[in-house]
Amino acid sequence: MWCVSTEQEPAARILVVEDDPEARATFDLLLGTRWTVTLAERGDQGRDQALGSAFDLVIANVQMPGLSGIELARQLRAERTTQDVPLILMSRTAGQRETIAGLEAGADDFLVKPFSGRELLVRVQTRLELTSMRRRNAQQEEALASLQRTLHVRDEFLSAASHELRTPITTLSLQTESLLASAESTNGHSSPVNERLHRRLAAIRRQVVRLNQLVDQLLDVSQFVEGRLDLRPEEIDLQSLIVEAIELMRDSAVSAGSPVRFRMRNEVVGHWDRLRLGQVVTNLLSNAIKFGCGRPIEVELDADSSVARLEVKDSGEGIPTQEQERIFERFERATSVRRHPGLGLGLWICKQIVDACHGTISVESEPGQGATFSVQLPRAS
Amino acid sequence: MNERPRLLIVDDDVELCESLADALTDAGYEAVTAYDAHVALRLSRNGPPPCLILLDLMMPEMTGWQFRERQLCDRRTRDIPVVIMTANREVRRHPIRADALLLKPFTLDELLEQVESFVASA
Repeated sequence: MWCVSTEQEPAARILVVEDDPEARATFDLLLGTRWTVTLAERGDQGRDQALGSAFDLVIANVQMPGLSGIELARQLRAERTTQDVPLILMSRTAGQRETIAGLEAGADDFLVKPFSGRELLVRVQTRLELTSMRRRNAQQEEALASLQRTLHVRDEFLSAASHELRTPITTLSLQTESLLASAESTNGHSSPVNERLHRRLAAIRRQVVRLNQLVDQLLDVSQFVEGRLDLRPEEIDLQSLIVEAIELMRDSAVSAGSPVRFRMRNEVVGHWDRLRLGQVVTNLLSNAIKFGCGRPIEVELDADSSVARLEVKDSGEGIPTQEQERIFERFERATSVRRHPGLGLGLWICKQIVDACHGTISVESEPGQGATFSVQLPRAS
Repeated sequence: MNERPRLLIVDDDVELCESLADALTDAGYEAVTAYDAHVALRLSRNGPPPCLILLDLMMPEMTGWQFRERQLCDRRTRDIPVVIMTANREVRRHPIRADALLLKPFTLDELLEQVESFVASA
């Protein structure tokens, strides 16, 4: 939401170019009470003043000796600093030719003398409000462009950082696994030292996997935001994909004390992106384990001829109704970071993938009664 | 035959290069490392040819793509299979002139599986 400043704007500055001393005095009297008025008695003097200082409005008489109002208009429009300054011309003659000449020279409005003080005030007021509105729009557009540039820089950085992090993670992963392999090969003579070493290396390996998942999420953010979610549909059997995801999460589920039960009503084969859909199932399972309070988790798969339905149900703390929409947003979570660390991207990523597959994702939950996440996927996506 | 299959690892990240060499040596291969593509070209042209090259793409001076172009122009090296190692997922969008792709970070199992498939068919 944009906030428009409520601060009092400084009084607008108006330049009046008028060769008639009486008319000049009248302008000063009428306009000077509300705005800051500068007076010029000749066209060339008015031009120099307009070029030398910023005005919010120029009012000029057409018929003046030397530089006429129309020529003044042309010259102001030709200069970069004055090309956008609002300009009102005034003339004694109401001829159409003169009005058109004035407008063609760049005037924004035309006043025919004699005019009432009230008409002058209304026209000036309207012109100044338009200018002010145009200026605010330009400022907002600039602020929006600047915000978009900042977001782009952030996403570029996330992308570059994620790429850079993958090489050291590869090194770390290879070294850990090589050490684990060595520890396992000497476990023939099982000793407390070897067992302890094995346990610690296994812990390092888990953290490497976690680190890699976090990097993947960061990279996904930048790709999804730029609309670069590149799906590669292939024929896949959802049952085997879910079984693989459950297998992948088995250690975390066991250590959280939440057994995962999988029930399938009928075989589901369809065209989807294997990696991305695997990510959806893994993220939903990961959440169920994280928030499931050590109670069983149920995964159910069902389908008809057009839609596949996946449900992941936990019996944990649940999600308050007012937070159920928000949890699908980026960097959002239904709980505090301190209790359950993470980037708050898992469900957002799920939603991006499911949306890209033209499917839907939703949640049903009662606080204290757990949560059921449902994904519906058209089988021909 | 006691000779161990010879592999050439090309990556400007010295630590990764050495970790790959350690892991592959443990798995029974002879691992030769090159921290830049110029050295890799020399090693693959002169001396016993490797049965597989593991190639990083993003390297200063000569990139993996440039290495690949030169390798394919040289009859001494053009038949050596190449596995690309990269962190860039975008690489999957474009046709790549290589025999296989390992996306970083890959696991030891993925590495060994890939290497074995080429060495076994050599």
